[in-house]
Amino acid sequence: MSQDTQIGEPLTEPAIVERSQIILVGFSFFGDPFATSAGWTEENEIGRLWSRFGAFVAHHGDRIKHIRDPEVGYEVHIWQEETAATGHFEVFVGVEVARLEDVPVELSVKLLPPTTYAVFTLHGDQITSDWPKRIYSEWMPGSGYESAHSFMFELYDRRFKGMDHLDESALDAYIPVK
Amino acid sequence: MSNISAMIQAIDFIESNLKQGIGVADVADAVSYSLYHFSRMFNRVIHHTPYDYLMRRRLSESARELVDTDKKIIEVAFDYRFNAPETYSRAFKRMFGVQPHQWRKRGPLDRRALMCRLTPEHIAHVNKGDYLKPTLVERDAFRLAGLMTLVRDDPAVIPQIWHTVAKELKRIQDADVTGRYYGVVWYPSGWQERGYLYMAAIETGSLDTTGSPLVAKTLRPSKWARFVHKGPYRDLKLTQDYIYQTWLPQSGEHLATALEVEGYGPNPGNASGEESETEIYIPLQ
Repeated sequence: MSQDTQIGEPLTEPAIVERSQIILVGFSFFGDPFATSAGWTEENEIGRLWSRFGAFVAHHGDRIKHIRDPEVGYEVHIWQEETAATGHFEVFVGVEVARLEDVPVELSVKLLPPTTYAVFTLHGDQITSDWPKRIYSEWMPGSGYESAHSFMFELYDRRFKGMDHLDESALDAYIPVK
Repeated sequence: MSNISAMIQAIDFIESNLKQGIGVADVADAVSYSLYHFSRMFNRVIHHTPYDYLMRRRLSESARELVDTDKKIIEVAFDYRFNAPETYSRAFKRMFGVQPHQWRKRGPLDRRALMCRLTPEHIAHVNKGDYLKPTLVERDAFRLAGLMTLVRDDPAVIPQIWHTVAKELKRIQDADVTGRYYGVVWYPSGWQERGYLYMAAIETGSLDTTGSPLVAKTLRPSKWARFVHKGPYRDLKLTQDYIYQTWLPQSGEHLATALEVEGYGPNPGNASGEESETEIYIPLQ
Protein backbone atom coordinates (compact mmCIF):
# COMPACT_ATOMS: atom_id res chain seq x y z
CA MET A 1 0.00 0.00 0.00
CA SER A 2 1.38 3.38 -0.91
CA GLN A 3 1.49 5.75 2.02
CA ASP A 4 1.40 8.76 -0.21
CA THR A 5 -1.42 8.00 -2.57
CA GLN A 6 -3.46 11.09 -3.08
CA ILE A 7 -5.05 10.56 -6.42
CA GLY A 8 -6.50 7.05 -6.60
CA GLU A 9 -9.06 6.09 -9.19
CA PRO A 10 -11.50 8.86 -10.14
CA LEU A 11 -14.67 8.75 -8.06
CA THR A 12 -17.75 7.31 -9.66
CA GLU A 13 -21.01 9.27 -9.57
CA PRO A 14 -22.73 8.98 -6.21
CA ALA A 15 -26.08 7.42 -5.52
CA ILE A 16 -28.53 9.91 -4.01
CA VAL A 17 -30.47 8.33 -1.16
CA GLU A 18 -32.89 9.51 1.50
CA ARG A 19 -32.44 8.22 5.01
CA SER A 20 -34.63 8.78 8.01
CA GLN A 21 -33.05 9.38 11.41
CA ILE A 22 -30.16 7.01 12.11
CA ILE A 23 -29.64 5.99 15.74
CA LEU A 24 -26.07 5.00 16.55
CA VAL A 25 -24.52 3.69 19.74
CA GLY A 26 -20.77 3.69 20.22
CA PHE A 27 -17.80 5.78 21.34
CA SER A 28 -16.62 9.25 20.45
CA PHE A 29 -13.42 11.29 20.38
CA PHE A 30 -12.93 15.04 20.01
CA GLY A 31 -9.65 16.60 18.96
CA ASP A 32 -7.07 15.95 16.26
CA PRO A 33 -7.29 12.20 15.87
CA PHE A 34 -3.91 12.01 14.16
CA ALA A 35 -2.03 13.73 16.96
CA THR A 36 -0.06 10.69 18.10
CA SER A 37 0.38 8.78 14.88
CA ALA A 38 -0.72 9.78 11.46
CA GLY A 39 -0.15 6.54 9.65
CA TRP A 40 -2.88 4.34 8.30
CA THR A 41 -2.36 2.05 11.20
CA GLU A 42 -4.64 1.47 14.10
CA GLU A 43 -2.54 3.67 16.32
CA ASN A 44 -4.27 6.96 15.66
CA GLU A 45 -7.28 7.96 17.73
CA ILE A 46 -9.74 6.70 15.14
CA GLY A 47 -8.10 3.29 15.19
CA ARG A 48 -8.16 3.37 18.97
CA LEU A 49 -11.88 4.17 18.97
CA TRP A 50 -12.54 1.17 16.74
CA SER A 51 -10.39 -1.04 18.96
CA ARG A 52 -12.22 0.12 22.08
CA PHE A 53 -15.54 -0.41 20.42
CA GLY A 54 -14.49 -3.83 19.14
CA ALA A 55 -13.35 -4.83 22.61
CA PHE A 56 -16.63 -3.67 24.10
CA VAL A 57 -18.62 -5.67 21.54
CA ALA A 58 -16.45 -8.73 22.17
CA HIS A 59 -17.13 -8.61 25.90
CA HIS A 60 -20.58 -7.10 26.10
CA GLY A 61 -22.07 -7.51 22.63
CA ASP A 62 -25.13 -9.23 24.02
CA ARG A 63 -25.94 -6.11 26.04
CA ILE A 64 -26.36 -4.00 22.90
CA LYS A 65 -29.98 -4.60 21.94
CA HIS A 66 -31.85 -3.87 18.72
CA ILE A 67 -28.74 -3.80 16.51
CA ARG A 68 -29.80 -3.52 12.89
CA ASP A 69 -26.74 -5.29 11.48
CA PRO A 70 -23.77 -6.15 13.70
CA GLU A 71 -21.48 -6.31 10.67
CA VAL A 72 -22.10 -2.74 9.62
CA GLY A 73 -19.97 -0.14 11.39
CA TYR A 74 -20.35 3.63 11.19
CA GLU A 75 -17.59 6.22 11.49
CA VAL A 76 -19.08 9.70 11.75
CA HIS A 77 -17.02 12.90 11.47
CA ILE A 78 -18.68 15.98 12.96
CA TRP A 79 -17.35 19.50 12.52
CA GLN A 80 -17.93 22.10 15.20
CA GLU A 81 -17.45 25.83 15.57
CA GLU A 82 -13.74 25.54 16.24
CA THR A 83 -12.93 22.97 13.56
CA ALA A 84 -11.81 25.49 10.93
CA ALA A 85 -9.50 27.22 13.42
CA THR A 86 -7.96 24.22 15.18
CA GLY A 87 -8.60 21.24 12.92
CA HIS A 88 -10.21 19.52 15.91
CA PHE A 89 -13.40 17.60 15.26
CA GLU A 90 -15.50 14.79 16.66
CA VAL A 91 -15.21 11.20 15.52
CA PHE A 92 -17.92 8.77 16.53
CA VAL A 93 -17.78 5.04 15.80
CA GLY A 94 -20.57 2.60 16.46
CA VAL A 95 -23.43 0.52 15.16
CA GLU A 96 -26.98 1.37 14.22
CA VAL A 97 -29.82 0.35 16.51
CA ALA A 98 -33.52 0.24 15.66
CA ARG A 99 -34.72 1.80 18.90
CA LEU A 100 -33.20 4.08 21.47
CA GLU A 101 -33.71 1.65 24.33
CA ASP A 102 -31.56 -0.54 26.56
CA VAL A 103 -28.35 1.30 25.72
CA PRO A 104 -25.46 0.13 27.96
CA VAL A 105 -24.22 3.03 30.05
CA GLU A 106 -20.69 2.65 28.65
CA LEU A 107 -21.89 3.64 25.19
CA SER A 108 -22.80 7.06 23.84
CA VAL A 109 -25.64 7.75 21.46
CA LYS A 110 -25.53 9.73 18.24
CA LEU A 111 -28.70 10.71 16.38
CA LEU A 112 -28.15 11.56 12.74
CA PRO A 113 -30.97 13.75 11.41
CA PRO A 114 -33.12 12.62 8.48
CA THR A 115 -31.47 13.88 5.32
CA THR A 116 -30.52 13.20 1.73
CA TYR A 117 -27.07 11.69 1.18
CA ALA A 118 -24.77 11.50 -1.78
CA VAL A 119 -23.22 8.06 -1.37
CA PHE A 120 -19.78 7.46 -2.88
CA THR A 121 -18.36 3.97 -2.93
CA LEU A 122 -14.60 4.09 -2.42
CA HIS A 123 -12.37 1.26 -3.58
CA GLY A 124 -8.77 0.36 -2.82
CA ASP A 125 -6.40 3.31 -3.07
CA GLN A 126 -9.28 5.76 -3.10
CA ILE A 127 -9.79 4.99 0.58
CA THR A 128 -6.48 6.55 1.55
CA SER A 129 -6.65 9.32 -1.04
CA ASP A 130 -7.94 12.81 -0.38
CA TRP A 131 -11.47 11.88 -1.41
CA PRO A 132 -13.15 14.52 0.80
CA LYS A 133 -11.36 17.12 -1.33
CA ARG A 134 -12.68 15.49 -4.49
CA ILE A 135 -16.19 15.35 -3.15
CA TYR A 136 -16.50 18.78 -1.54
CA SER A 137 -14.32 20.86 -3.86
CA GLU A 138 -14.60 19.06 -7.16
CA TRP A 139 -17.82 17.08 -7.36
CA MET A 140 -20.14 19.23 -5.26
CA PRO A 141 -19.76 22.61 -6.98
CA GLY A 142 -20.96 21.24 -10.32
CA SER A 143 -23.50 18.82 -8.92
CA GLY A 144 -26.40 21.09 -8.07
CA TYR A 145 -26.11 19.96 -4.46
CA GLU A 146 -24.62 21.62 -1.45
CA SER A 147 -23.57 20.38 1.97
CA ALA A 148 -26.63 19.97 4.20
CA HIS A 149 -25.05 19.27 7.59
CA SER A 150 -21.73 19.60 9.34
CA PHE A 151 -21.09 15.88 9.41
CA MET A 152 -20.46 12.93 7.11
CA PHE A 153 -19.98 9.27 7.77
CA GLU A 154 -18.20 6.23 6.42
CA LEU A 155 -20.02 2.94 6.38
CA TYR A 156 -17.90 -0.18 6.85
CA ASP A 157 -19.41 -3.59 6.07
CA ARG A 158 -18.37 -6.99 4.71
CA ARG A 159 -16.77 -5.31 1.71
CA PHE A 160 -14.10 -3.78 3.92
CA LYS A 161 -11.30 -6.29 4.52
CA GLY A 162 -9.06 -4.16 6.72
CA MET A 163 -6.27 -1.65 6.17
CA ASP A 164 -3.88 -4.49 5.31
CA HIS A 165 -6.10 -5.54 2.42
CA LEU A 166 -7.11 -2.21 0.96
CA ASP A 167 -6.86 -3.51 -2.59
CA GLU A 168 -9.81 -5.82 -2.04
CA SER A 169 -11.72 -3.37 0.14
CA ALA A 170 -14.55 -0.93 -0.36
CA LEU A 171 -16.55 1.40 1.85
CA ASP A 172 -19.31 3.96 1.39
CA ALA A 173 -18.93 7.64 2.19
CA TYR A 174 -22.26 9.28 3.04
CA ILE A 175 -22.32 13.03 2.44
CA PRO A 176 -25.43 14.89 3.60
CA VAL A 177 -26.63 17.11 0.74
CA LYS A 178 -29.56 19.33 -0.11
CA MET B 1 3.17 17.10 -5.54
CA SER B 2 4.39 14.81 -2.80
CA ASN B 3 2.99 15.09 0.69
CA ILE B 4 6.37 16.25 1.96
CA SER B 5 6.58 19.16 -0.46
CA ALA B 6 2.95 20.05 0.24
CA MET B 7 3.70 20.14 3.96
CA ILE B 8 6.77 22.32 3.36
CA GLN B 9 4.44 24.66 1.51
CA ALA B 10 1.99 24.52 4.41
CA ILE B 11 4.78 25.51 6.81
CA ASP B 12 5.64 28.44 4.53
CA PHE B 13 2.02 29.55 4.56
CA ILE B 14 1.85 29.34 8.35
CA GLU B 15 5.13 31.25 8.71
CA SER B 16 3.92 34.07 6.47
CA ASN B 17 0.72 34.36 8.46
CA LEU B 18 1.74 34.03 12.11
CA LYS B 19 0.28 37.46 12.81
CA GLN B 20 -2.82 36.92 10.68
CA GLY B 21 -6.00 35.32 11.92
CA ILE B 22 -5.55 32.09 10.00
CA GLY B 23 -6.89 28.73 11.11
CA VAL B 24 -5.93 25.19 10.20
CA ALA B 25 -8.64 25.09 7.50
CA ASP B 26 -6.95 28.04 5.76
CA VAL B 27 -3.65 26.20 5.72
CA ALA B 28 -5.32 23.11 4.25
CA ASP B 29 -6.93 25.31 1.58
CA ALA B 30 -3.60 26.91 0.78
CA VAL B 31 -2.17 23.53 -0.22
CA SER B 32 -5.44 22.23 -1.75
CA TYR B 33 -6.06 19.43 0.73
CA SER B 34 -9.27 18.67 2.57
CA LEU B 35 -8.96 19.50 6.25
CA TYR B 36 -9.20 15.81 7.13
CA HIS B 37 -6.49 14.67 4.74
CA PHE B 38 -4.32 17.67 5.60
CA SER B 39 -4.45 16.87 9.29
CA ARG B 40 -3.41 13.31 8.67
CA MET B 41 -0.53 14.22 6.37
CA PHE B 42 0.72 17.13 8.48
CA ASN B 43 0.87 14.95 11.57
CA ARG B 44 2.66 12.21 9.69
CA VAL B 45 5.24 14.45 8.07
CA ILE B 46 5.73 17.15 10.72
CA HIS B 47 5.01 15.17 13.92
CA HIS B 48 2.88 17.99 15.33
CA THR B 49 -0.79 18.64 14.85
CA PRO B 50 -1.20 21.65 12.55
CA TYR B 51 -2.79 23.62 15.38
CA ASP B 52 -0.01 22.72 17.79
CA TYR B 53 2.63 23.87 15.31
CA LEU B 54 0.77 27.13 14.63
CA MET B 55 0.39 27.87 18.35
CA ARG B 56 3.98 26.93 19.23
CA ARG B 57 5.33 29.12 16.46
CA ARG B 58 3.16 32.06 17.49
CA LEU B 59 4.17 31.65 21.12
CA SER B 60 7.86 31.28 20.26
CA GLU B 61 7.94 34.38 18.07
CA SER B 62 6.02 36.30 20.71
CA ALA B 63 8.53 35.11 23.33
CA ARG B 64 11.33 36.50 21.17
CA GLU B 65 9.55 39.84 20.89
CA LEU B 66 9.06 40.02 24.65
CA VAL B 67 12.82 39.92 25.08
CA ASP B 68 13.89 41.85 21.98
CA THR B 69 11.38 44.72 22.09
CA ASP B 70 9.72 47.02 24.58
CA LYS B 71 6.24 46.30 23.30
CA LYS B 72 3.56 45.90 25.93
CA ILE B 73 2.73 42.29 26.65
CA ILE B 74 -0.89 42.87 25.69
CA GLU B 75 0.19 44.25 22.30
CA VAL B 76 2.38 41.22 21.65
CA ALA B 77 -0.55 38.98 22.58
CA PHE B 78 -2.90 40.73 20.17
CA ASP B 79 -0.27 40.81 17.41
CA TYR B 80 -0.09 37.04 17.55
CA ARG B 81 -3.85 36.69 17.53
CA PHE B 82 -4.53 35.85 21.13
CA ASN B 83 -7.86 37.48 21.79
CA ALA B 84 -7.34 37.99 25.52
CA PRO B 85 -4.28 38.47 27.73
CA GLU B 86 -5.40 35.58 29.94
CA THR B 87 -5.59 33.23 26.97
CA TYR B 88 -2.10 34.30 26.00
CA SER B 89 -0.67 33.89 29.51
CA ARG B 90 -2.21 30.47 29.91
CA ALA B 91 -0.89 29.23 26.56
CA PHE B 92 2.48 30.85 27.22
CA LYS B 93 2.84 29.22 30.61
CA ARG B 94 1.82 25.89 29.19
CA MET B 95 4.63 26.03 26.66
CA PHE B 96 7.39 27.77 28.65
CA GLY B 97 6.45 27.10 32.24
CA VAL B 98 6.47 30.79 33.18
CA GLN B 99 4.22 33.81 32.64
CA PRO B 100 5.08 36.28 29.86
CA HIS B 101 6.21 38.99 32.33
CA GLN B 102 8.50 36.52 34.14
CA TRP B 103 9.97 35.45 30.81
CA ARG B 104 10.65 39.06 29.89
CA LYS B 105 12.52 39.66 33.16
CA ARG B 106 14.53 36.50 32.83
CA GLY B 107 16.36 37.80 29.80
CA PRO B 108 18.41 35.85 27.27
CA LEU B 109 16.58 33.18 25.39
CA ASP B 110 17.28 29.51 25.60
CA ARG B 111 16.78 28.52 22.02
CA ARG B 112 16.10 24.97 23.06
CA ALA B 113 12.81 26.11 24.60
CA LEU B 114 11.63 27.86 21.45
CA MET B 115 9.95 26.10 18.57
CA CYS B 116 12.01 27.13 15.58
CA ARG B 117 10.66 27.48 12.08
CA LEU B 118 10.94 24.00 10.59
CA THR B 119 13.10 24.09 7.49
CA PRO B 120 12.98 21.60 4.59
CA GLU B 121 16.15 20.11 6.18
CA HIS B 122 14.32 19.51 9.46
CA ILE B 123 11.42 17.92 7.64
CA ALA B 124 13.62 15.69 5.49
CA HIS B 125 15.53 14.68 8.62
CA VAL B 126 12.39 13.69 10.52
CA ASN B 127 11.17 11.68 7.53
CA LYS B 128 14.35 9.67 6.99
CA GLY B 129 12.98 6.84 9.09
CA ASP B 130 11.84 5.76 12.49
CA TYR B 131 15.15 6.23 14.22
CA LEU B 132 14.24 9.47 16.00
CA LYS B 133 12.23 7.43 18.43
CA PRO B 134 14.29 7.30 21.63
CA THR B 135 14.81 4.39 23.94
CA LEU B 136 14.40 5.15 27.61
CA VAL B 137 17.36 3.71 29.47
CA GLU B 138 18.20 3.32 33.12
CA ARG B 139 21.92 3.10 33.52
CA ASP B 140 24.69 3.49 36.01
CA ALA B 141 26.40 6.83 36.24
CA PHE B 142 28.65 7.89 33.39
CA ARG B 143 32.20 7.77 34.78
CA LEU B 144 34.23 10.01 32.54
CA ALA B 145 37.68 11.53 32.34
CA GLY B 146 38.60 14.35 30.02
CA LEU B 147 38.87 18.09 29.62
CA MET B 148 36.30 20.83 29.61
CA THR B 149 36.15 24.05 27.63
CA LEU B 150 33.85 27.00 27.22
CA VAL B 151 32.38 27.22 23.73
CA ARG B 152 31.32 30.71 22.78
CA ASP B 153 31.27 31.64 19.14
CA ASP B 154 33.82 29.29 17.67
CA PRO B 155 33.15 25.54 17.90
CA ALA B 156 36.68 24.93 16.56
CA VAL B 157 37.79 24.69 20.19
CA ILE B 158 36.08 21.29 20.33
CA PRO B 159 38.43 19.41 17.94
CA GLN B 160 41.36 21.17 19.65
CA ILE B 161 40.40 19.87 23.03
CA TRP B 162 39.89 16.39 21.65
CA HIS B 163 43.41 16.52 20.34
CA THR B 164 44.72 17.34 23.80
CA VAL B 165 42.65 14.62 25.45
CA ALA B 166 43.95 12.03 22.99
CA LYS B 167 47.56 13.03 23.70
CA GLU B 168 47.08 12.86 27.45
CA LEU B 169 45.39 9.47 27.26
CA LYS B 170 48.39 8.05 25.44
CA ARG B 171 50.61 9.13 28.31
CA ILE B 172 48.56 7.19 30.85
CA GLN B 173 49.85 3.67 30.26
CA ASP B 174 47.46 1.57 32.29
CA ALA B 175 44.41 3.56 31.45
CA ASP B 176 41.30 1.66 32.55
CA VAL B 177 39.01 2.90 29.81
CA THR B 178 36.13 1.37 27.90
CA GLY B 179 37.07 2.87 24.57
CA ARG B 180 33.82 4.79 24.28
CA TYR B 181 34.09 8.52 23.75
CA TYR B 182 31.59 11.06 24.94
CA GLY B 183 31.02 14.79 24.67
CA VAL B 184 29.11 16.37 27.52
CA VAL B 185 27.39 19.69 27.04
CA TRP B 186 26.23 21.85 29.95
CA TYR B 187 23.88 24.72 29.32
CA PRO B 188 24.32 27.21 32.19
CA SER B 189 21.70 29.94 32.44
CA GLY B 190 22.45 32.71 30.00
CA TRP B 191 24.44 30.32 27.81
CA GLN B 192 23.11 31.88 24.64
CA GLU B 193 25.24 34.91 25.40
CA ARG B 194 27.99 33.52 27.57
CA GLY B 195 28.53 30.17 25.90
CA TYR B 196 28.11 26.56 26.94
CA LEU B 197 30.54 24.13 28.50
CA TYR B 198 31.81 21.15 26.57
CA MET B 199 33.72 18.22 27.99
CA ALA B 200 35.65 15.87 25.70
CA ALA B 201 35.81 12.63 27.62
CA ILE B 202 36.38 8.92 27.61
CA GLU B 203 34.47 6.45 29.74
CA THR B 204 36.58 4.92 32.45
CA GLY B 205 36.24 2.59 35.37
CA SER B 206 38.74 3.97 37.84
CA LEU B 207 41.19 6.03 35.85
CA ASP B 208 43.84 7.59 38.03
CA THR B 209 44.09 11.14 36.77
CA THR B 210 46.60 12.24 39.39
CA GLY B 211 49.55 13.75 37.63
CA SER B 212 47.54 14.28 34.46
CA PRO B 213 45.62 17.38 33.40
CA LEU B 214 42.58 15.20 32.75
CA VAL B 215 39.73 15.61 35.20
CA ALA B 216 37.28 12.97 36.31
CA LYS B 217 33.56 13.58 36.20
CA THR B 218 30.66 11.39 37.24
CA LEU B 219 27.21 12.06 35.82
CA ARG B 220 24.63 10.91 38.30
CA PRO B 221 21.18 11.02 36.72
CA SER B 222 20.24 7.47 35.95
CA LYS B 223 17.20 7.83 33.72
CA TRP B 224 17.97 8.89 30.17
CA ALA B 225 16.30 9.15 26.81
CA ARG B 226 18.78 7.85 24.27
CA PHE B 227 18.44 9.13 20.72
CA VAL B 228 20.51 8.12 17.75
CA HIS B 229 21.32 10.95 15.40
CA LYS B 230 21.86 9.50 11.95
CA GLY B 231 23.80 11.61 9.48
CA PRO B 232 26.74 13.99 9.63
CA TYR B 233 27.66 15.44 13.02
CA ARG B 234 27.25 18.94 11.61
CA ASP B 235 23.49 18.21 11.32
CA LEU B 236 23.21 17.32 15.01
CA LYS B 237 21.07 20.40 15.58
CA LEU B 238 18.29 18.84 13.49
CA THR B 239 18.01 16.00 15.97
CA GLN B 240 18.41 18.34 18.95
CA ASP B 241 15.59 20.55 17.70
CA TYR B 242 13.42 17.48 17.32
CA ILE B 243 14.25 16.32 20.83
CA TYR B 244 13.53 19.60 22.60
CA GLN B 245 10.73 21.00 20.47
CA THR B 246 8.84 17.94 19.32
CA TRP B 247 9.65 14.88 21.40
CA LEU B 248 9.99 16.43 24.85
CA PRO B 249 6.69 18.34 24.93
CA GLN B 250 4.81 15.36 23.52
CA SER B 251 6.43 12.79 25.79
CA GLY B 252 5.27 14.27 29.06
CA GLU B 253 8.84 13.81 30.35
CA HIS B 254 10.86 16.57 32.01
CA LEU B 255 14.55 17.34 31.86
CA ALA B 256 16.42 16.52 35.06
CA THR B 257 19.31 18.92 34.44
CA ALA B 258 20.47 21.18 31.64
CA LEU B 259 23.04 18.84 30.18
CA GLU B 260 23.31 16.53 27.24
CA VAL B 261 25.65 13.63 26.54
CA GLU B 262 26.81 12.88 23.02
CA GLY B 263 28.10 9.37 22.47
CA TYR B 264 30.61 8.90 19.65
CA GLY B 265 31.51 5.26 20.09
CA PRO B 266 35.15 4.31 19.61
CA ASN B 267 35.90 6.94 16.92
CA PRO B 268 35.33 10.49 18.07
CA GLY B 269 35.31 13.22 15.48
CA ASN B 270 34.81 10.79 12.63
CA ALA B 271 31.10 11.27 11.98
CA SER B 272 30.78 13.07 8.69
CA GLY B 273 28.93 10.52 6.55
CA GLU B 274 25.21 10.15 5.91
CA GLU B 275 25.28 6.78 7.66
CA SER B 276 27.29 7.81 10.69
CA GLU B 277 25.58 7.73 14.04
CA THR B 278 25.92 9.83 17.17
CA GLU B 279 24.08 9.04 20.38
CA ILE B 280 22.39 11.82 22.30
CA TYR B 281 21.43 11.19 25.91
CA ILE B 282 18.99 13.53 27.63
CA PRO B 283 18.68 13.23 31.42
CA LEU B 284 15.08 12.80 32.57
CA GLN B 285 13.45 13.34 35.94
